[in-house]
Amino acid sequence: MPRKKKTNPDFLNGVPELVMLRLLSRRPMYGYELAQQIKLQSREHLTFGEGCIYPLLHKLEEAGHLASRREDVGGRSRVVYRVTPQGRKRLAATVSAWTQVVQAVEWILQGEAHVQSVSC
Amino acid sequence: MSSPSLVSSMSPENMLQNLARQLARRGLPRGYVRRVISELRDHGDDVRQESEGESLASRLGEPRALADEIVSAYRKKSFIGRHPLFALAVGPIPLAILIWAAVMAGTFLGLQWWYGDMSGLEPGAAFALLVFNDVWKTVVPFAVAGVAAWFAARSGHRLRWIALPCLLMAVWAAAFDSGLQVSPFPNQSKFTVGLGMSLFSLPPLAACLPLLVLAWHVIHRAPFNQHSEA
Repeated sequence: MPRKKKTNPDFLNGVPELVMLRLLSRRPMYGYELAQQIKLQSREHLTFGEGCIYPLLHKLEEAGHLASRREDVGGRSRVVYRVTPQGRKRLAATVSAWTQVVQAVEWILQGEAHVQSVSC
Repeated sequence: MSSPSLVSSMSPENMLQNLARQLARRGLPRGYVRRVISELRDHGDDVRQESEGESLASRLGEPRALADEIVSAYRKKSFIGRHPLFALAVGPIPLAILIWAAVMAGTFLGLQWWYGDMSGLEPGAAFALLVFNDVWKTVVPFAVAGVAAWFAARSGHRLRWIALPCLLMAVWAAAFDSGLQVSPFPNQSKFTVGLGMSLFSLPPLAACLPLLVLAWHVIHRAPFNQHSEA
């Protein structure tokens, strides 16, 4: 009997987590700042309801990948998130998985182009 | 339900209050609702500073969609949140049977250690076994209902999911019966277990306690309002 393959939900669902961990690994940020950075650094290609980042931040925090603290930033009190050592490990693993997925898709696209050029 | 045009014309505070009510109605714990709303309020202040005329909903997302996202992310965090049918509908009765069997076995072993030979039940041992039998019949469904309802509430489920294990345990407690027929002769005492319910008799205390758990959750799930958020 063939071994049951593990599904990879991160293939579709892990992108926001990857993006957030990457940006927060550069420096601690509060929610609004993080939402702005996602838009800015993706050159506005990643657009989303900004409120959606909070449940994801809370999920990452509960998993121990982020830590949060209320701090005074620019004269206002805000919840600032930073990546924990466990989060850095998770980031490394997610980056590696993402790189493999991108590479695999690239191979498929190249293969399709190659097949088309041969058949023509 | 709010229409998009109505949502975009809402004041930011009204929108957040509306969102808070939706989250609370769907079963998210108040502490978590307060936290999310507080961070969204900070976010809204930043949006206002950046662009005065822009509506908060256009940036944060429509409250209903945002509530869906927040509730879904919250429930995904726990096993009970992800699998309520298994954990709250299928699980409680087998769990109650297992726990009851384990504590009864533990009680029997404890009494055997205390009284020595249990083959000819002496009056003290028989009385203790009868008392413990009644205690466990009452406590186990109550404890299972309490724990299941607590986890259901913590996982952000609606009241109906909290009610389910409580009602199951109430029915189970009303139907389940176990007893001891004591005989003075060695190895003649019998421990009996069975199911049965009379429609014309009052439900036993054991059946009422899981319903009290449900009542507690109903009372403590009052609507979320401005006052409770403060």
